[in-house]
Amino acid sequence: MIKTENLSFKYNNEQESLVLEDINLTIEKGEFVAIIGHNGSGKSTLVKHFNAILLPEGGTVYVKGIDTRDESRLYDIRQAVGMVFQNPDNQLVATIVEDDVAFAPENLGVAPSEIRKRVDRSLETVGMSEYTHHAPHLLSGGQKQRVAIAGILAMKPDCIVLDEPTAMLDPIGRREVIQTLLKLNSEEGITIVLVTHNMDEAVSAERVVVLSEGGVEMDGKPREIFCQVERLKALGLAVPQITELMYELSREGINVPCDILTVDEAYNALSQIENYNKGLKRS
Amino acid sequence: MVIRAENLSYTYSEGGPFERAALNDVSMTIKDGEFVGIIGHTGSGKSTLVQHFNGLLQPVSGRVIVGDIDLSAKKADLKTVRTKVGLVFQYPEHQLFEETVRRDIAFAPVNMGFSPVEVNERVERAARLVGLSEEILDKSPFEISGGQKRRAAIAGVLAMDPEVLVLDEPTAGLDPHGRKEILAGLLKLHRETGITVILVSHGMEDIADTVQRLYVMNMGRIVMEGTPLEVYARYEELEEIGLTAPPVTKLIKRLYGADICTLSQAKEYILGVIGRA
Ligand SMILES: Nc1ncnc2c1ncn2[C@@H]1O[C@H](COP(=O)(O)OP(=O)(O)OP(=O)(O)O)[C@@H](O)[C@H]1O
Ligand SMILES: [Mg+2]
Repeated sequence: MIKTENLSFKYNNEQESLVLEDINLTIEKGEFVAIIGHNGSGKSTLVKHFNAILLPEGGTVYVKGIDTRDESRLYDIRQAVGMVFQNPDNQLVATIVEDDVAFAPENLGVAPSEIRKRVDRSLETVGMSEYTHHAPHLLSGGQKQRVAIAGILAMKPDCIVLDEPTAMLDPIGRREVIQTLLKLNSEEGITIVLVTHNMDEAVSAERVVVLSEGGVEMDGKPREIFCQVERLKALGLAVPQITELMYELSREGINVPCDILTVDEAYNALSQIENYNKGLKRS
Repeated sequence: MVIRAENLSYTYSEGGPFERAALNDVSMTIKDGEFVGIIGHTGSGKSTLVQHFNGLLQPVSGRVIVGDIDLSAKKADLKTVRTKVGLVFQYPEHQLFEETVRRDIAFAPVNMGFSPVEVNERVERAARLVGLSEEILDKSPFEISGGQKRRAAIAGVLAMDPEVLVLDEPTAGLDPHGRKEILAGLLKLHRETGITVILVSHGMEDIADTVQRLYVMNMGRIVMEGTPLEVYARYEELEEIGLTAPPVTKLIKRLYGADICTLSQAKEYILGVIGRA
C-alpha cells in the first residue's frame, strides 16, 4: 500500500540535521498501524509523505506502486490516501454536515447521483446518518472527527492516515473515533495509519511503529513493543497504565506476565494469583 | 487570589436559532493557592466557565469575583484581571504569532513594561518549566512540531507570572514524557510559589495524579465535587456522562471493591493484599 525506501527529509537548508533519516517502512494493504514517538520525532512529517503533501528529499515513497514525485499521478495518490488532522474545527468547511462530506467528491467532478450515494453511505459507516442536515459546529469533537472521516470515505480511499485525531477529544469522543477506525479496517478493509500519543489507543492497532529523532526505532506487535517499558521510557514514551502497573508489580517480585495491556487481562492475572494463594493457605 | 462564581449562567447566541445554555447556575469557590481540576465531556461548559475567570467573557447572569474585583460590575478592571489570571487556551497554537518562539514568550512581559533583563529572566524560567531548549527558542513558531507549539504557548502565559493559572487541556498533543514534565512543572510551581492552578483536562490519569480537588461538569452544571479519590470512586456515574476513571481505578474496584485513583496507590493496595496472603 505504502512503501518508503531510504526516505530522508528536511524542511530547509538551515536545518543542520535531517528531520527524517533513511526510513524504510512498508505498510501492507489492510493493516492497522499506530505510529508513536516523542514530540518532534518526525511523525507528522513522515505521514505527510504518504499522500504527497511533502515530497522526499532523498529516497522514494511509493503509494500503491506510484512514486509520489510523479506529479501526473497526484490525483490518484490523494484519492487513495486521505488525511485527518488533530483539530476538528479546522477541517470542516461547509455549514451542513452532508455538504461537508460531499465537498471533495464534488470538487473532483463526481456525478451528483453518485455523490448522494457516497455521502449517505459514508455517514452511515461512521454512525452519523442522523446528523446529515445538522450544522457541524454544533457537533461534539468526536462527532466532528467522524464527519471528517466520512468526508474522506466519500473519496473511496484505500488508506486513511490520521494525525492525532483524538488529541482534543474527551474519553467518549476518543472511543467513538477508535471504534470507527477498527470497523473501517475490519469491515471495509481500509488501511489505517494512526499517529497518537495515547498508548491505550496504540494498543488497538495490530502493529506499532516507534519513531525517534527522525528514524524508526522499534516496529512490532503492541504486545512486543509495550513490554519494553524501560526502553520506551528512555525514548520519552510510556506504556498503557495497566502495563506499567504490572511492570511495577513484577519488579516487587510478584509473578505477573509483563505483556499485559488491558484491565481485563490484569484482572485475570491477579485473580489467578489470589486463587493460587488461597489454595496454598487451605492446604 | 480567591475565585468565586455565584449562580453563573451563560447562553451562546441568545435568541438565535442555535441558542444553547453553556452554563447553568454554576456556583463555586476556589481558594487562594488551591490546585483544582475541572472535568467534563466536550461541550459541557468547562471552557466557557474558565473564560469568565479572566474576563474574556463577562457574566450575563450571576457573578464572578476574582480576588477583590467583581467582574460583573460594568466598569470592572479587566486589564488587571488579565495580567493576574493567566489563561492557556485549548488551542494554544493560535496564540503564537511572533517571529521567534523567544519573542512570543516575551510578548506579555514586554507589554507589561518589564526591563529587558527581567523579560529575559522570565522567558528563560518559563522555557525551562515547560522543557523548551535554546535551539527551539530561536525558531519561528511556524517551524516547530505540534507539541513544541503547545509548550511555547504555556510558557508565554507562565512568563506573565500570574497569580492564578488556568490551563484548558494543556497536555493534549504532548508526548508522555512531555505530559509528565509539564504536570511536574506545574506541581513544582504550585508548591514553590503558592500560585492557584485550575486544570481543565480530559486526561483522567493526569487529573488523578495532580489536583487536590475536582469539579465535574455536565450540561453546563456542576454535578460532582470532591477529591480525585471521591470523584473517581463514582466512576459508573462518570461513564454515564461521557467520562471515565483511570484504568487502575477500575481494576482495583473489580478485584477488591476498593477505591484508589493513582498507579502508586494501586501498587500499594495489590502488594498489601498479596503480601497478606
Ligand atoms: N514547517 C516546518 N519548518 C521547519 N521545521 C519544521 C516544520 N515542521 C516541523 N519542523 C521540525 O521538524 C521536526 C519534526 O517535526 P514533526 O512535526 O514531524 O514532529 P511530530 O513527531 O509530528 O511531533 P508532535 O508529536 O509534536 O506532533 C521537529 O524538530 C520540528 O521542529
Ligand atoms: Mg505531529
